[in-house]
This record gives sequence, C-alpha cells and structure tokens, in this order.
Amino acid sequence: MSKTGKIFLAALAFAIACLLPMIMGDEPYIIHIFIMSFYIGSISMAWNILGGMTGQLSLGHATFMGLGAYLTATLVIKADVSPWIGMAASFLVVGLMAAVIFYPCFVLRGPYFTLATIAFGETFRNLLMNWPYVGQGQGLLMPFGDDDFWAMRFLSKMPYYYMSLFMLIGISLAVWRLDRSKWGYAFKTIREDEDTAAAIGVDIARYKLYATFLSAGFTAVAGAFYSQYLRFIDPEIMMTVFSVEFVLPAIIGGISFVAGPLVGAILIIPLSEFLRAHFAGVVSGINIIVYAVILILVIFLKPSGLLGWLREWSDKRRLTRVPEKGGGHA
Amino acid sequence: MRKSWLLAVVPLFMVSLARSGAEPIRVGGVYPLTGDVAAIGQNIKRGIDFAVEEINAKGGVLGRPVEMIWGDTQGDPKIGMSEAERLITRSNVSCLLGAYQSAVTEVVSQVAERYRTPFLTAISTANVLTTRGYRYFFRLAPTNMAFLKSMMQFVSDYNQKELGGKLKTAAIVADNTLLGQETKEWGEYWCKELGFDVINVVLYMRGAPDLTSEVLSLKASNPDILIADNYISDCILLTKTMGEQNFRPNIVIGKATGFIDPTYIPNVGSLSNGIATALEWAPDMSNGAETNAAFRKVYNIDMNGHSANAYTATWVLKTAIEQAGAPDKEKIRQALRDITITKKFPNGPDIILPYDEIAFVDVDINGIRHTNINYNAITTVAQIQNGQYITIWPFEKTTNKVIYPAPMR
Repeated sequence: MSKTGKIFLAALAFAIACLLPMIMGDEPYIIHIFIMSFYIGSISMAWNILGGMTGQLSLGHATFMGLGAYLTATLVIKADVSPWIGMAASFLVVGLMAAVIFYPCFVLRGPYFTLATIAFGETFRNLLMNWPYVGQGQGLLMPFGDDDFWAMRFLSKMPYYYMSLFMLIGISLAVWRLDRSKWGYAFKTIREDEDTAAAIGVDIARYKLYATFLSAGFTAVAGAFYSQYLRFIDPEIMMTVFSVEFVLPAIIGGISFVAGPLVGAILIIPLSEFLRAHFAGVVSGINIIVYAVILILVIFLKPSGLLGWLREWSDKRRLTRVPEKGGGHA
Repeated sequence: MRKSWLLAVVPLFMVSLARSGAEPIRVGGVYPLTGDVAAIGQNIKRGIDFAVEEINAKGGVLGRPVEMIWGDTQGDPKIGMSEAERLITRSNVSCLLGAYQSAVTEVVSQVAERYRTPFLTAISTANVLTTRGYRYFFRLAPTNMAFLKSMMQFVSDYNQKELGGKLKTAAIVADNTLLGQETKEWGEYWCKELGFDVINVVLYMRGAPDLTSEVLSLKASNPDILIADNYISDCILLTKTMGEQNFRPNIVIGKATGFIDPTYIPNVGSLSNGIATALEWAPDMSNGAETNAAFRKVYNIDMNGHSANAYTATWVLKTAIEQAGAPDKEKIRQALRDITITKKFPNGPDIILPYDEIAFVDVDINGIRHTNINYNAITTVAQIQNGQYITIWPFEKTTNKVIYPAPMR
C-alpha cells in the first residue's frame, strides 16, 4: 500500500472510531467491548516496544499495569490527587522503577529474561497482597460521587471510550515515531543480533533501559485508566495470565509490525466476547476451546501474524503482476 | 379419585399456560462457569436451574415462566463487568444472581448499582461487600464474620462440653486473597473472644504449586486447632501435603469454600476423614431432605452449601418478584427490602437452610455499617466421616457424634 493510502486508511479508521458511539447510540455493552479492545490494544502496543521491537519477551506487563493502577488509585484515595496527574506519575514512576529493577537483568537472554519478568511480577503481587496501606488482598475501591472530570469519574461510558481511544492513538503514534527514530533502529538491531549490535557500537544496556522505560511507562498509563474505569482493583490483576492476555494481540496481529498489536486487539477481544456471549450459556467452556483453537491455528500457520500474512500476500501479488502500460514500478 | 385427576391436570395446565403465551421473566446469573473454579460455578448453576424448574412447574412467577440468562465471569472482574452489562442492557434481565469470587461480586455490584438492577448474592461472603452502602445489592449468604463465629463457637462448645477446656492454641491457614485475609481477621477476633491463642498464621499465594514449607511451619507450631480457608485446588493440595508431612491437628475446621466442593472428598479420599467444616447445608440435615432427594434424582449428586444457597436465593427472588407484582427493577428492590420469609416460601418449599427466617436488614457489625444483609444467616458445622458430611453442630439440632481427634487417614 502506498503511503498516502495508509494515511487515508488511518484517517478513515480514526473518523469511524470517533463517530462510532454517536452512530450506535446507547449500547453500553458494545461500548465496553470497544473500551476493552482499546485498553488491551494500548498495553499490547506498549509491550511491543520491549517484546516486538527490542526482542525481550516480557511476561511481567500485568505487573506494570497493576503498579500504574495502584499508584493512581492510592494517590486518589490517600492524597486526593487527580487521576490525570496519577496517570502522568504512573508513566514516570513505573517506567523508572522497571528500568532500574530490570537493569541487572539485561544480561539475561531469551527465556531467562522472560523468567525474570515473571519473578518480578510475582514479587510485586505478593508485596501488594500483604501491604496494609494499599488494602492487602481486599484491594482498593475508588470513591463514589457525581460525575467529575477532574476525578475521572463518569456514569456514562462515553468519556471512557474516548479516553481509551486517545490513549491507544497516543501510544500508537509514539510507537510509530519510535519505529523510525535512532532509538527504534537501535532496538531492532538488538533484537536481530545482540553481539553484532554491540560490535557496531550500540550501547545495549542503555537502549534496553530506554525500551523498558517506555514500555513499562505506557503500560502503567493504561493501568491507571483501568483503575479508574473498573473502579476496583486488587492484586489479582497482576496475575501472569493477564500478561499473556496483553501479549496475544501482538502475536496474532504480527509482532514485527507497528500496527500488529492494534490489529490483533481489535480482532481478538471482540471475538472472545462474541464467543462467550453466544456459546458460554450453551455448553460452558466451548467458547474458550474455540478461541484457543483459533489462536493456535494462527500462531501455528502464520508465526508472523495476520499483518505478516497480509504483507506476503501483497508482495506476491505485486511481484507476479504484469507490468502495466508505461512500465511498472519497482 | 376425581380430586387426584384434578391435581395432576391443574399443574400441567398451568405449565402449558406458563410455557405457551407468556413472555418469560428473565433473571441473569453471573458465575465462573469456566476456569479454575468452574466446578463450583457449575454446582451453583445446578442449584439455580433446579429451583427455576420447580418454579416453572408450579406455574412460574405472575403467570410467566422464569428464564435464566447465564454470564460466564471466568473469575475475572473485567469479564464480570462485561457479562453483567450484557445481561442488563442486552438481555434485559429484571434482576441478577451472582458471582462467586468476591472481587468479581464487588465489580458486578457496582454495575448493578449503576443500572439500578437488583443483585442478590447467594455465595459471596466477604464482609466488605455490604459495607459500600449500595441500594441494589443484597446478600443472602452469611458473612465471613458469621462463618468464623459459627466455627469457633462449635470448637468452644465442644471444648467445654467434652474436653474440659484442654484445647488452647489455634493456627490459621488461608490464601492471601480478600477472603483469606478476612478469615484471618475474624479468626483472630473470635479466637480472642472465646479464649483461644492464635499461635501461627500462614497466608500463602492462591494457586501455589507447593505448600510444603507452609505445612511444615504449621506443624512446627503444633496447634490444637487448625482453622483453614482455601479455594478448592489449594484445599486439595493442602490436605495432601498435610498427609505427606504427617501433620494431623486434633481439630481441623474449614470455612466451607474448598472443603465442601463436590470434588474435594473424591480427590483426597480418607485424608479428609475427621475434618470439620462450616456448612450452610448438609444432606443429613432435617431441613430440605425432600428437596435434596428430588435434586439427587436429576443430577445424581447431593446438594451442598453452594447449591442449597443458590436454590434458596432463586426462590427469594421469585418471591420478591411476585410481591413486587411486576418484573420492575425498582419494585423488586423494594420488595427485597420488605420481604420476610418465615419457615416456608409462599406457595413453595420450606427454607432448607439451617435458619428459619430470611429478611434483609441494615446492621452495625463491629462498628461497621452493613446494608441489605440477611442477618439471621448462620452456618452449621459438619464433620467429614468416612466420605460423608455429618452435621455435628449446633448440638441441640443433632445427635451425631464428633470424631475426636480427627484421624485424617
């Protein structure tokens, strides 16, 4: 696809996304599915900075998300600080925390790094589970009250819809910019071959630090959103299964594509909702089986994801096309 | 003769009336039908399905059949939110029954409040749930506080009556979720009230792959009484590990949860022998014997505390809808506030739980305001004796003997 085509497509998608709730009217359940897709898409996008671009497969992102959620919720409850500030604080604090804690782990490669991220997650979950100040296992419930923009509290789902949409767009734009920047090239060089990257002068630890900071920071912002949308959090939101939930859209969409997590989230979250709504009441569990089979098939048949498959298909078509009059293009 | 003919035809006629023309009254059920506690979710579902069949066989509610619409929470709060919203806004249910894990119930109760939909929980026991001041959330189940009170009262009564007060020390083992932490809190509270020393508290991660070090810690402290509260998979692991490590306290008392799961005894076998557990209901109780016989015919399994509570909750909703006069959410809420059911549901079965009156009231417990709770709810205590739950407490309601010390083999 040409560049203008891509921009046109993106603009069209944006316009549809903005107008959708108005066209659909009062459909809170459908809006909720969109919010969940945008939310999981945002985290998957953020995960992809570390996992896809830099090649460091993390299963600790539920923890970054949980830390962002906890930081924001604690600020709201204990200090009456606006969640908007909490969101910004989450980005910086959780990003820095992750970068500092993971710094010694950057020498670990492949599955060893992944194991370290799991251990990191379990450690923090245990900590919060046993820390009376943040409610231990009882979790934190956001205060009630009337709609209040500053307190990020709305009865309607519309504000949350736009918040999650703009969060997704913001993170996507950042990742898209990053992809073409010096940092992005350094990340990708590290992914392809760490030794070569080091040999040509890429400071590996430094760039892994940047990637971790950005990835964890953006994830924490989404976590802050989660805490204000569900209005109740407990340490179980940091379970490793939720980390897997964040990784899946990226893998399904295509791990090496900027838009991969986005495409993945927008396809598989509604898919799993649809399957559950239609089949769970009939034979329970069948929805999960069908969902799992679809995921296995995609991963098994197309490890490069849906976008990888799309690219192959369009490359093949371009290569086999008979040159048009006046000569084709290269 | 003629009368019996009529008796057979009238219900049939009513059923056909209910089934044919009338639009069903829809009730939502949000439970973990899949995932690690699916066995419990399915068991709850059986209790509700059974009640709904009884209700519809008797002509339904207000001449209309009841239809259950199910939502599967998978034990995830955000899926619970999504399912509750689907049931309320898409399936137009008049009221909700639900959730098992208290974190899910917490989120669903917020959703119900937002859409002004009556939401009755039959199972969730976490104390905090009813302290939010919600108007549409009702709890039939006893609170954790009531569970621990019943459990420790049993131990104390038995200690006084049979053992001359020789039991002195207690240990608590639970997971560190909301539920486990409340068990710790109220376990310590009631131990203190009744004069037991809590010498060890072990809280572990839910779903832990291994509990050996936890069990060794408990064994080292050598308590007279072990108070346990565990979800089913942890519960099985705990029991097996206790067997392996030869840790057999004289009294083991569980807080229902995993100990009354239908898969518990089959999985641990004779290791469960002598373990006592708080119980909302047991097959050998005089209440509900007929209901259980009918239930057993359909599902080939006895009712347990979960299915009995779920069954009762369904009848409570049915009665409330009837008293409301229409499946209108606001009227149902008011009816639930006003309802008092004594001994027997109008035009329905006896109350099968170990108490005689159901009503939802606001009360202060230990200085904290609770709203819409069924304050009369208590539990009995049963002991697993050769693979059967045998009710052993309150003493005045049973003649069964307690096996002491618990053999656990």
